[in-house]
Amino acid sequence: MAVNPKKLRPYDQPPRVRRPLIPSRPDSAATAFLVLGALWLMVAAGLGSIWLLMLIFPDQLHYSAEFGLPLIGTLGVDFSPATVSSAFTDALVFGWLSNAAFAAILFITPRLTGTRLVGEQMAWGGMALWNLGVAGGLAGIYIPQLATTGPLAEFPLPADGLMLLGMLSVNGAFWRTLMAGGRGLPYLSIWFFGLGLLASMGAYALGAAAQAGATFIHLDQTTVALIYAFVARLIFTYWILGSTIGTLLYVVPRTTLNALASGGLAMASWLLWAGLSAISAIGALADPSVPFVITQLGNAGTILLVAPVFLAVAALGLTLHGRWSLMLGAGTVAFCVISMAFLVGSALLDAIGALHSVQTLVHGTEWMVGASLFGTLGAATFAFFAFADHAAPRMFRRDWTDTPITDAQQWATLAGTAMAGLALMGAGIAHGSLMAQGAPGDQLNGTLLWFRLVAGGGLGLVALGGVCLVGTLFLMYTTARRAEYAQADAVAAAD
Amino acid sequence: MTVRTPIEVGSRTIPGWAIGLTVLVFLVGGVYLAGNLSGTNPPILAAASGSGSAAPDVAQQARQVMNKAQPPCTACHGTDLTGGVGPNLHGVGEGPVTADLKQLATDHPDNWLNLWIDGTDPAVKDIDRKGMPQFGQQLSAEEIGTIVDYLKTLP
Repeated sequence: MAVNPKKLRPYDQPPRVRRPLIPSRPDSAATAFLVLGALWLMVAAGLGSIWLLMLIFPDQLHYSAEFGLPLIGTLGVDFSPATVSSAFTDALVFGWLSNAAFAAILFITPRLTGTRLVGEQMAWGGMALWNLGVAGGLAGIYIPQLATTGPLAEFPLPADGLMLLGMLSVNGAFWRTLMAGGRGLPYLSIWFFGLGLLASMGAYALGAAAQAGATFIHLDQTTVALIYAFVARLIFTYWILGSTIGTLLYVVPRTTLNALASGGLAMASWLLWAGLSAISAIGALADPSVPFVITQLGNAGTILLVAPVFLAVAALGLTLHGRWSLMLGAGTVAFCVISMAFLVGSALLDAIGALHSVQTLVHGTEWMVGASLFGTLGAATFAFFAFADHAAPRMFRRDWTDTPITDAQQWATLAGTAMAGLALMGAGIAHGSLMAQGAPGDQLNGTLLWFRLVAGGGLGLVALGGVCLVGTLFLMYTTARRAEYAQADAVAAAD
Repeated sequence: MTVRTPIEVGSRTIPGWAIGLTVLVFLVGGVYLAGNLSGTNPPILAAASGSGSAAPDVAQQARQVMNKAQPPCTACHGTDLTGGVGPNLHGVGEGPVTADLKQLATDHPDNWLNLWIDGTDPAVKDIDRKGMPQFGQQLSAEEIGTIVDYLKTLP
């Protein structure tokens, strides 16, 4: 008897699959972190461009107002270069880089431990809490009554709390997975991720405690500012640098299909990084209340951080042996090589910026942001681009080869980062030199205008790179054929 | 397909050149530290754009006004207000930092700094401003007062 497939009776239909509110599919939390991170990259680069436009057109783009609200009272809104530059740095570090780092950790850890991620739903919770905290914190920056501005802006206490809980959740998923794996000494990426997660959670807790102290017990303002500066440096050294190296140590051997060339180099890099990152953070304690020699010890630590970066890049470079041709086109290996180049460059720039004489010249100028862009938009961003290029087809289970959009993503971000970083560092040197010569304000603004224009254009290109990443992820998910990839341990996956 | 895919790790020894490079970097760091044992750090609160307190305060409001001014105060007096083309403003609350303003401070002890920043009052019309703009043409008296209150807190 012929069956009309359009008229299936209830018992002919396959049972409906109930979708839980929070997905528990393998890699689902990592996917969510990566997609949100890509969106944050666009937001961050866009904010950076607006910041530089505000410096160029201060009268036209500055907005400040006060509103009378019932129950709350008067609430001010300040849309100025100070608030927008803080929002830019925060969206970049907490939005893009942190989400991408979480994605990398949640994707890589199960594959290296041979077990499925324990606490996929906990990681989802962490994703929600973290991003709510970042979004709330960024909104709070524009309201002077709620937050202040700084190197890594001090978010309002509730936002800090949400982010801390988010970080705690990801830590929980990571460490539980590591315990469940339990097969001897883990691979070096795990070492970098583990210490990075613990140290950054400690740093957030310290920052939140300082915020609480300032709010409830009126802690001395200088002490609070010193704690914030220390925390910001810890986040750069342990969290951003650690997750970048950890990700590269996974992606390079996986993509080249070579063994990691030297475990000894990588382990030496980890040991030096672990010790020197904390010392480097002491260099941020620059105030007359802190003995000068202590601050300089921290600056010496920043100079010494060149060593672990060199060792890690050497281990990665040797691993690429025989596979250099892979870097000729846009894609994972090219992203890795660009990241490694920026990693060395940013370590050297940090070391130069730590010199007392250089600090005297460029302190508080555009140099600080420009030099940090080599680390954040250069080294870390390209490492996470490489991770996304390698991992996204596996997360979405799609058969995918790189398209011209990947080329556009690579070149737009590379050119944009180089332009913005170099222009801002140039602006910083010009700014410091002109002030030292006693140049009048008009000459200063006129000189800096061109640097700022170039930097603004560069950050616009980086935003375009972010759009390309989002476009790639969207096209991959919607148009590519389904494919199966190796998953973590079968027994654990059945749990 | 479910498999564990470990990454092979090559030699676990550290090459001699890497040890040499590390020692060299440590030597550079040590020499730098030895050459920078004495000096003073700049104040962190003047360098930061906020004070760290959740509540609005003098420093934060003053920073907003100083950024609004054209050119911003920091363009000439330095980002930490320790001086550039303009003089160091730390300690200005205790009296003028340049000789030509001492008479003004004697005549107007309570508001000499407001008058000087404003620049439009007859009391300061005969003083050489040396490039200092008349901020009274773009800032209100309250905004100038906010800046003065902040400057008086600088150590």
